[in-house]
Amino acid sequence: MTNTTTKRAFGFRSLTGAFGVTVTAVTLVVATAGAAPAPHSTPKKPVPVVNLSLYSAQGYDSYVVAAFNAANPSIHITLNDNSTGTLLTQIAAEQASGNPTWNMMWADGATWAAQFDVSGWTKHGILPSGVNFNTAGLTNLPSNKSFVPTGVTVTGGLCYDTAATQGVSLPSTFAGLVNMPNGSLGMNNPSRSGPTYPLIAGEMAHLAGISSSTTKSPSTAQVTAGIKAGENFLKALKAKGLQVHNTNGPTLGAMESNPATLSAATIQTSACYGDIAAGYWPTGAVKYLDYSVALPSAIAVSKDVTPAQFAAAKKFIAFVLSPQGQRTMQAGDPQGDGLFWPVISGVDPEQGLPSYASTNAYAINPYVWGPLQDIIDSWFTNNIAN
Amino acid sequence: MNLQKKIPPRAHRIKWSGMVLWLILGFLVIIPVTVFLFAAVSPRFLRVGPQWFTLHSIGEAFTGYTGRGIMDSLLVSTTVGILATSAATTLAWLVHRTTLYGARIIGGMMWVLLLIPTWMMTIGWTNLIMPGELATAFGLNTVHLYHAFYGPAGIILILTTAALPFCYFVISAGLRGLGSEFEDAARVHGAGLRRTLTTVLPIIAPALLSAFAIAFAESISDFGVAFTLGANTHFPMATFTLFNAITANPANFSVAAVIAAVLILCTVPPIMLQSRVTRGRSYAVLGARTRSVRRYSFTPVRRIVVSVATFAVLIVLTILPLVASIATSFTRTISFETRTGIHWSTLSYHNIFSPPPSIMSLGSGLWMSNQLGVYVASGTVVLAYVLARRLASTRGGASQRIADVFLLGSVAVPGVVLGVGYILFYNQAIIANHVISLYQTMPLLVMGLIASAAPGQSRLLIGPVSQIQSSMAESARVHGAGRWRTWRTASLPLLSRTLTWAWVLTFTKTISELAVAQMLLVPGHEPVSVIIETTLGTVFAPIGSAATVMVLAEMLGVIIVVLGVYRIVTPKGWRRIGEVGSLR
Repeated sequence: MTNTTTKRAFGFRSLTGAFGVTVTAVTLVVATAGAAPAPHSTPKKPVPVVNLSLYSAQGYDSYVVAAFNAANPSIHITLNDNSTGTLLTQIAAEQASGNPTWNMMWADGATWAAQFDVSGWTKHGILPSGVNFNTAGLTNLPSNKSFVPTGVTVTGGLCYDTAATQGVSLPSTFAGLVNMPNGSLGMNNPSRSGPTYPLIAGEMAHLAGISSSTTKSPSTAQVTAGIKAGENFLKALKAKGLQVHNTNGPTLGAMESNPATLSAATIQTSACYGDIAAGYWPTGAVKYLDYSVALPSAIAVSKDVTPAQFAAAKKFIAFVLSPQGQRTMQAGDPQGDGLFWPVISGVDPEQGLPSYASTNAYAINPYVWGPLQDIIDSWFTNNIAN
Repeated sequence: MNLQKKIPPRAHRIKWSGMVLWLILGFLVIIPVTVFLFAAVSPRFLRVGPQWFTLHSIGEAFTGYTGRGIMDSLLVSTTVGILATSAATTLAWLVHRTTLYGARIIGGMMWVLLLIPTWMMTIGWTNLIMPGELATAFGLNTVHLYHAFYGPAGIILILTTAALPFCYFVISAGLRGLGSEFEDAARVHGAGLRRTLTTVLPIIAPALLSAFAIAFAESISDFGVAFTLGANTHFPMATFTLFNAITANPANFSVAAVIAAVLILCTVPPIMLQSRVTRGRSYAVLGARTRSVRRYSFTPVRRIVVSVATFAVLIVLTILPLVASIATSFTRTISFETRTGIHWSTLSYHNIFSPPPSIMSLGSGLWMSNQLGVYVASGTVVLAYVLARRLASTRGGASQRIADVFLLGSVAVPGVVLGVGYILFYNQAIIANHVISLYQTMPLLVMGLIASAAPGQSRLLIGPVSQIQSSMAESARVHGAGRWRTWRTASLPLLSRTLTWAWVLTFTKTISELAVAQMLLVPGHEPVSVIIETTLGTVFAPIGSAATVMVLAEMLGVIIVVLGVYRIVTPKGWRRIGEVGSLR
C-alpha cells in the first residue's frame, strides 16, 4: 500500500514536475529574452537622465526621435510606433488601469487630443516659448495649449485621374460633386479611415454656415442643422453612385487600375501626392474645391509626467516646431506623412505641394465634432457605405 | 497517526494538480478577461464611468448596430461551423478512406491553408478579384464578384476556408485511429455507402463535434475578416462593433465588455451539445491493436472526376489567392494592372532589406517574431496537452465541464479583448509598482500569445488524446512502469506527431498574430506582423505585400525543417503508429 502510494505520488510529481519545469524554463528563457533587447542595455551609451515614452503613428517618427536622441544625450525617448487606433486603445486601457505609462502622443487629427483634454488626461500649456507659428499653425492651436499642431495636411481635395476624366467637367465646389458622372466619385469609410471623419464633419459644419475655427463653439441648433444638411448631401452623392472603399489604399487603387473603377475621390490629398511622387500614378492629379478640411497632426503630453519629463517633452516639442525639426519630419517620410504643410514660418513644404492658401483649408472645432464621431460614423456605415 | 491515512493520495493529487493548472489559467486568461468584462456592469471599477453598478451598457449593446452585429456573428459562425465540418469530413474521408489521386498532397495544402491568417487571406482574395488586379489582367470582369465578396458571402467563404484545416485535422485524427472493422461490420450487414457512413461517423462524434465547436468559436472571435469585409457593408459583425467600441474616442469599454461576454457565452450551446452527445460513452478507438483499413475503390472514371473536382476546389481556395498575393508583390504599383501596363519589379523585395526611413526594420521584426514563436509554441504545447488530457479524462465531473466551457469560451475571446484585459490587470499600479512590472515587456507578450493560442490548441489535441485507449497505460502500469515512463513509452509515441504539428502550428500562428501583438508589443521591438500591418496602410503597401510573401515562405521553411528533424530523430515506429489508414 505504501509502495503504491509512493509510486502514485512520485508518478504524479513526475508529470506535474515535468510540466512545472517546462513552464519555468519557458518563463526564464522568456524573462531573459525580455531583458535582452531592452533599449537601455547597450553599455556604450551614456545613461539617460530622463526617459520619455512617445506613442506615435507618424511615418517619420522614428527618424525624428533618432535625430532628437542623438542631439540630446540627457534625454532618451522610447518610441511606441503603432496605428492611431491601437495607440488610443492602449492609452485608454492604461488610464483605466490607473497607471498610465504613456508620456506623449503624436498622431494625425485633433479630435483625439481634444478628447484627451476633456478627459483630463493631458497637461495644458505645453507650447514651448519662441515658436514662430505661421497661419496654419496658429489656426490649429487650442487656446489652453493642451496640444500643439506639428504639421497640417488637408482632406477633401479632389484626387482624380487625368485620363479617366478626359472630357469631364470637374466641379469647383463640393456642391458640384453631385453633378459628376454616375459612379465615378469615391471616398473612404470613416469607420476605417482616420482622415475621413474630419472630412465629413467639415462638410457638415460648412453646410451649416459655421465659420472656420478650431476654437469658436457653434450653437447646438447649428450643429444639428449641419448634421442634417451633411446627411442629405451624402445621400445625394450616394444616389449618384458614390463608391465607398475602406481606406486610401483601395480608393487610390480603384483610380490607378486598368480599367479604373473610379475617376475621382475626395480623400486626404497627401496620399495622392505620395502615389504621384512614388511614380505609382503618372496620370494622377489633385484639384482643390471651394474648401478642403484641415487635418493637423498634434502632440499632447500626459498630465502624469514628472517635472523633469515635462521639461524634456517641451524640449522635444520645441525641436519638432523648429525649422530643423520640420525638415527632419519631411526627410523621415518624403513620400508619405512628410507631405505636410509646415506650421512655422520659414520652412517650405515638399516639392510638388501647392501653397497652403490654395487648398482653401477649413478648420473645425475638435471639441465640438470629436464627441459626435461614433454617431456619425455609424450613420455613414448604415446609410452610405456600399 | 499516519498522515497518509488521513489524506487519500488520489484526493491529494487532484487538488494539487488542479490548483496549479487553474492558477496558471487564472493568470493567463481568467483574471485579465474577467477584469475587462467587469466594465460591463461596473464602469467605475475601471475608471471609465461614474457608476459602481449599472445595466445600461447591456441594453446599449443589444440595440441598433451593435445588436445586429451580435445576431450577424451568430448566424455566420453557425453557418461556418456546419459548412467547415461537412467539407472537412468529406475531405478527410476522401483522403483516408478512398483511392483518391494525390491524397497525400491534400494534407500539405491544408497546412498551407492553416498557415494563412484570415487577414492575409482577405488580402489575397482582394488581390485576385478586385477590379484592376490579377483576374482583370486575364480579361475577367470581376466587378460583381468583388462587390459580393465584400459582404456575408465573402465573410462566410473566408471563415469557412480558415476553419477547414482545423476541422480537417481533428476529423482526420479521428478517422486515422478508426480501423475499418466498423465499416466492414456495417457492410457485412448489408449497409450501402451512405448507411455505412451514417453508422461509422457517430463513432468519431467527439472529433466531429470538436470540429464544429472550434470552427464556431474561431469564427465568432475572428476579427480580421470582420474588420476588412464587414466594415464596408450593411453586415456588421460583433467583433467589428466591439473593436469600434474599444477604439472609439473616448473608448466605450462597457459596451465592448458586454459584446465580449456575449461572444463567450455563445460558445456554451455547442459545448453543451457536445457534452450531451458524448456523455457516458467511450470513443477510445486508438490502441495497440488498431488494424489497417481497406480503402473504398472508385471506378477509374469516377476516381479521376472526384480527384479533379477536389483539387479544383482546393486550388481555388488555397493557391489562387496566394498566387495573386505573390504576383502583386512583384509589381511596383498599387494596382496589379495600370493604364501603363503591368510593371514587374523586385524593388519591394530589395526594400525589405534596405527599407525607407519611415518603415521599421522588417529583418529585426522577423527575428523578434521567430523568438516569440519558439517561446509561445513550446509553452502552448505543454499547457494545451495538459488541458486536453484533463478534458479527455473519463473521470471528469463538474470541474471537467467547467474547464471545457472555459476553454471554448476562451477561443471565442477576441485578441483585442485579451490585449486590453492584460493592460487593465497587469498595469494596475498596485501590481506594476509593488509586485512586478510586466506591461510592454517580452514575458507579458509571450503570456498573452500563449493565452491566445492554448485554448484552440487544446481543443485540437482533445481528439487525438481522447482516442488513446486507457488499456495501454494500464498495461504499462501493471507491468511496473511509473507514470512518467508510461507516458513516455505508451502515450508519447502515439502523440508525438500530433504534438509536433501543434508546435509548428502555434509557431506559425504566433508569427502572423496581430491583435495581441499590437496591444502588448515591446516598444522598439515590434513583431513582423505589426510592421507589415503598418506598412500595408501606407504608400509603401507593395513592400508590405512583399514582406507578407517572405513571412509565408519563412513559415513554410520552418515547417519543413521541424518535420524533417522529427523524421530524423524519431524511431520509425513512432511515425507509423496512429496512421494505420494512411498506408496502402
